[in-house]
Amino acid sequence: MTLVLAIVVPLVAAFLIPVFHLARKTLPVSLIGIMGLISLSASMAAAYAGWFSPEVSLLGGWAPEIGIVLVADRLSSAFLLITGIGSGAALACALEKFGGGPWRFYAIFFLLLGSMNGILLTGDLFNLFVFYEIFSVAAYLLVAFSMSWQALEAGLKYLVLGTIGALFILLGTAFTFMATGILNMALLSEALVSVPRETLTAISACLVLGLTIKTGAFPVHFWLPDAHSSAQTAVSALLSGVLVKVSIYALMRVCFLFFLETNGTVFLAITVIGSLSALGGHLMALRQDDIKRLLAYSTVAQIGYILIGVGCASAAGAAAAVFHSFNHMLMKMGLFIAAGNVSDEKGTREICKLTGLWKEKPFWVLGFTVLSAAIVGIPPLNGFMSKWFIILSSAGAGTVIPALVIAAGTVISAAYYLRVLSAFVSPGESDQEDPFKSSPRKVRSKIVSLTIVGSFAMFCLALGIMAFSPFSREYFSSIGRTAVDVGAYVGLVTGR
Amino acid sequence: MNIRPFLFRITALFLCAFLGVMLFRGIAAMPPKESVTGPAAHYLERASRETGARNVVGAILFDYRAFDTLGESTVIFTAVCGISMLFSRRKFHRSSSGLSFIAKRGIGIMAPFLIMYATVIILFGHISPGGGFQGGTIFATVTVLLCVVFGSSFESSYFPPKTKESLESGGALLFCGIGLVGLAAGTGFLSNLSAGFPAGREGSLLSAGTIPLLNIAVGMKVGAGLSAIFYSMIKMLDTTNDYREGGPIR
Repeated sequence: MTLVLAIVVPLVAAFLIPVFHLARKTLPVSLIGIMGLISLSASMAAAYAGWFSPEVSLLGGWAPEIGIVLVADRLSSAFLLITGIGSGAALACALEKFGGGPWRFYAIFFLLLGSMNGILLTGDLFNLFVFYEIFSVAAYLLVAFSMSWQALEAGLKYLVLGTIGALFILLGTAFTFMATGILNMALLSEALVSVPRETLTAISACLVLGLTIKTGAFPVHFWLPDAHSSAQTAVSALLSGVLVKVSIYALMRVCFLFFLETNGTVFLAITVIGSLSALGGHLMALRQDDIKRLLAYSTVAQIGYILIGVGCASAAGAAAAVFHSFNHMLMKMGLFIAAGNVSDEKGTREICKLTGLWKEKPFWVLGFTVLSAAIVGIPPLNGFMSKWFIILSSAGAGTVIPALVIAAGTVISAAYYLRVLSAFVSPGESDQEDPFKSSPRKVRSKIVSLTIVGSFAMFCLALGIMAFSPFSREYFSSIGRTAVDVGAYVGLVTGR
Repeated sequence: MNIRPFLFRITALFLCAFLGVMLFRGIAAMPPKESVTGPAAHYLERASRETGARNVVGAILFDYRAFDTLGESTVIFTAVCGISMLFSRRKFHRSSSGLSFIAKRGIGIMAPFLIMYATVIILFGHISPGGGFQGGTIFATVTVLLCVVFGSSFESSYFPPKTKESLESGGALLFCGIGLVGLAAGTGFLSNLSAGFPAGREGSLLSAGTIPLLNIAVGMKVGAGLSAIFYSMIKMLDTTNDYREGGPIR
């Protein structure tokens, strides 16, 4: 019962916002905050239900074969938690920055939230595509929201590549439906065994290619750096922290359900894409002068790590991938919020001009330092732990090269994050008095954003320490076991 | 001589050919089907009994897979939101004066019939081919015609953007509200006959439980949405003279 509310409540909030706007020009911040809280508690309720007792809800009361089902197991719950925390933080930042003025922004935000929950909960391949459409259109619009020409160009680029990705997903869905006549994912995982090999190759190529474009992995990543760097701060954080993870969930779910027993090559392909992505992303990030582009390329690399975990096709790999997704959400959202606020106040995004910040804004720099230490992988922090688990499971799956790529990537990422940090702590221009220098723009203090960055940094430390205890490791590995246990998923949906 | 574009095209050609061959092999390998199997057979056999709708496509769209329809119409809602966001910065609005007198009179006579046609398509969606999407599109066509023939300010005085917005949101909320009735009845979101909606006599106007209501909701959403998209864009075209190139549109 609670599952459908996680999707419908945000959608209803989005439909209500225009109605409220007709009554009042500027929406009160508290109204949007309350709607956000209600939506997030609905998705948390679904996550809670799915975590402790896997739940299926039949929409319209129809059986899984003829209707649409929503399924929540531990994998979807983990990702619901990621999107819940991430979108909550992004909404808080956006409310602090924009107030209640841009009502269409919030309408699109709630549509995005509802569609993300839809992707995470649906058990139907075509329904997945439908929610992907809402998700993508909303994401293009959020990128273009600031209406500068860079943002419009980035939005258009994202639109073109995203549409190609959606086309491949639709093609894969159509092939699947032609070959089997069903759309329910649990039933498909049984039916695909008897599909001819050539057809299965076409299906897997289309679905994996489409979903890879949506995740923004290396060979098809062109849209990601532009979109993530030219959007508003809150949107960049949301894109890098949350949206990419939703696509990773879809990739994990589809690949584990459909191809774990039928087509092992898919996982080899994912490992190769992941390794390329990790190396390519890090090398491109090394060359960037724009701090937000640097963070965006770093996202490409981190997606590579997660994909390497997925490509292990084992419970340990899946668990490590989910753990790294969670960590990356915390780290990258915090980094984007910190970098965005700092560069807004300085009026530039060039790293070499972001100097003297340690004196002006010590808390922001401190938060950025902890988070970048986490993402580079300094031992007691969570980034180290999840990378370690990915390396372990990758080596355990018999592929050493991806593990080496992760180790090499760590060195490269240390190089470019240290460059940013050394700019932050170097003495700034304000030390030499320059009478002609225009005074920096006055920006309201961002207490909420700072709190979010600080708490995410604390969370990173806490998660890193928690990962040492066998008790919490057991929690994470149970996600991985759920992800690869196709039989349990099928049994849950069909009731057998 | 610059050879790079040429190489690029050749590579693209080979990639496309490879993709085409692979997809074709995928289709060729499928065993031919003699009869309809799976859910399709179920729909054909039992749709009218289980949903009360004579139009099987309508029954699938608005009952078996109604959740997909909610999603699809939400895509339109999102697109409308975005387009009006992207094109909303215009302060001064100049409308074209429209076409000739003959065209205006002609559309004046035709418009009521078009609106009636759209209404029939929506209301009879569960009995005959048609439904909310199709009827809504026809309704949007009427407003598009008014825009083109009479100029956009005439159209916006008849169908103000605010009315469209509230119609669109109202349709969406109606859809969700009907769905929540099913949830409250304990039979699942968007459930139809099982939630106690009357099936009526098959083939009559008042039959098939929620399907006509959902058709109306989708018709409102789609009609108002598409017409709002067109209005935003033509408003942009009408005022294209004072559009500054390059800089931000705001």
